[in-house]
Amino acid sequence: MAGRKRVAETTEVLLQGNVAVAEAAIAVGCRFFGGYPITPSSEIMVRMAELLRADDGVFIQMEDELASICAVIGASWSGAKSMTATSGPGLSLMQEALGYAYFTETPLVLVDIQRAGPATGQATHVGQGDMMQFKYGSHGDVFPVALVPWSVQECYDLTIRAFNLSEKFRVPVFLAADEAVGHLRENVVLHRNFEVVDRIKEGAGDPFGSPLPDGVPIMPAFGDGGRLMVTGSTHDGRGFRKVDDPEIHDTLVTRLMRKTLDHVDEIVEVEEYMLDDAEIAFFAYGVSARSALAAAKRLRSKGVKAGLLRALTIWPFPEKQVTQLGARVKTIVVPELNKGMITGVARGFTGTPVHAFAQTNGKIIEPDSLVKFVEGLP
Amino acid sequence: MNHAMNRSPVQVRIGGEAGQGVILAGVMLAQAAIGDGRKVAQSARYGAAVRGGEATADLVISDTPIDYPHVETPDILVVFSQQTYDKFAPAGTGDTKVFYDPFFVTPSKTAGGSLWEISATEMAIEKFGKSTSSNLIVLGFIAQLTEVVSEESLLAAIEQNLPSRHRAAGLEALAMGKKAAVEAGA
Repeated sequence: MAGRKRVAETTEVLLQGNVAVAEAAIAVGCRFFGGYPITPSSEIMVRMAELLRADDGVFIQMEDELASICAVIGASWSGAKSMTATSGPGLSLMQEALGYAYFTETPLVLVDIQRAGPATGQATHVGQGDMMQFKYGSHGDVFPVALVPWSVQECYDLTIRAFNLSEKFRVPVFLAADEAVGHLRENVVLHRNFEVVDRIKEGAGDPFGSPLPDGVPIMPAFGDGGRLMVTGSTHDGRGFRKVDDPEIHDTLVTRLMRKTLDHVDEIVEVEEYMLDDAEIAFFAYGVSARSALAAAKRLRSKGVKAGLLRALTIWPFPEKQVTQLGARVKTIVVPELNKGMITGVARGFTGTPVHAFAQTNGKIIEPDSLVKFVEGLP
Repeated sequence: MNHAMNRSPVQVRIGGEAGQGVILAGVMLAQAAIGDGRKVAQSARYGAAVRGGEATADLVISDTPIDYPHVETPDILVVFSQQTYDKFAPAGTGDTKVFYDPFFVTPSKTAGGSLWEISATEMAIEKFGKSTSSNLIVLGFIAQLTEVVSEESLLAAIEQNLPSRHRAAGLEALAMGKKAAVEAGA
């Protein structure tokens, strides 16, 4: 083992969220990391360099973010589980190739440790301002997956899940983390108690058509002997460009949409806290959900029936869960470290009033501010 | 593990200049708390500069899962700079135990909390010829006075974090802090 020793797999240790992401990637079989350092994600890259070198994987520091994501796409087509990590400014640069990855059904995991944006913003301070970019950063209709951890343990568990979903559905998966969770150090168990999903490389049908029953075609690798054509232009089942056939385009775009949307019940995860008799509910994700849980408990101690619905998956959006929540409570409050991105999405799925608690000062939300906000609601 | 279960959560804030070992002190305290079988959330706040500028390490230590991971009102405040003292010193009456190094900090006469002076920088320079172990002297001091972590776990955390060539000096610095605390009337 180069550098540091690996930690035990059953005992609780103190690790940073970013380091837990890297440990999880290796544990689930990641063999390639291509990246470009950026605060507050760089610890992932450093740890991946150590771990991949020790495990005979491949690590490359690329010349920029666009090259990084392209290297990850290429590595994935060589058959390797591949990952990169960045923050908002890097995510912006990666968007062109992310659309390509989506349209070519390339499994990859992109970890975004969100900081206070837009632009260079405040590099060392927290934000949750990339929430829409995961879903709407590309041109055209894309239906990627984004998972949101709220703890160091979930940095580990959801990175594993991100790889598994990515391999199963041949889709780019985002770990939509934030600086506060990425830099937090907490108790974590680097367990091996999980299933590992690998892409299906051989079988009936072509790599871009004739899907297997779950809507995902086989994915052979370059170097395995077969002929392989991968293009970001509209293509038929074998990968040949078909840029004038209206039916092929519509069939492809629709199949890629159905691939994730037909499996929302499998992909979307939420957790409920104190919702049984709740009249007011927070709908929250990432570090802001921890503020919300603390606030809900304080409100309960003051006699206010508060609860929390927490999204572990933000894309595909937990539409059904938000609709059901709206039917159970009188008011919903969405605390988030942006100007109300997810608040606006939630409003589309319920007629119940949805209020934004939007904080953009580079800090996480203090529970007492949320308590005061709720107490001041009409 | 020597402590009774379900003690109240403790919030600790360590403030100073980047480069003073503030964040490393926070990490070692956090590891010690895990060694004691507790839950911990440790975070840091610092600027974009490599060296210099304000740096703060926050810890929440609890026997139950921690919801909000940052410090709201510190029970223990350790300050290595006037700037962080002025920013975080409790106003009026408060239960906060404030530990300060007089080399950097002159406490305000109006601020609240109970004040504990520990001349860690001077002690480190006198003993080791440089100030770099002052954070460990302070850790030894506060561990003795507050029992926020056990001595056994703190020793283990230091052994885990310091390269072998610095380990003996680190343990000595910790012992110096403990002795100073005993003399201060722990």
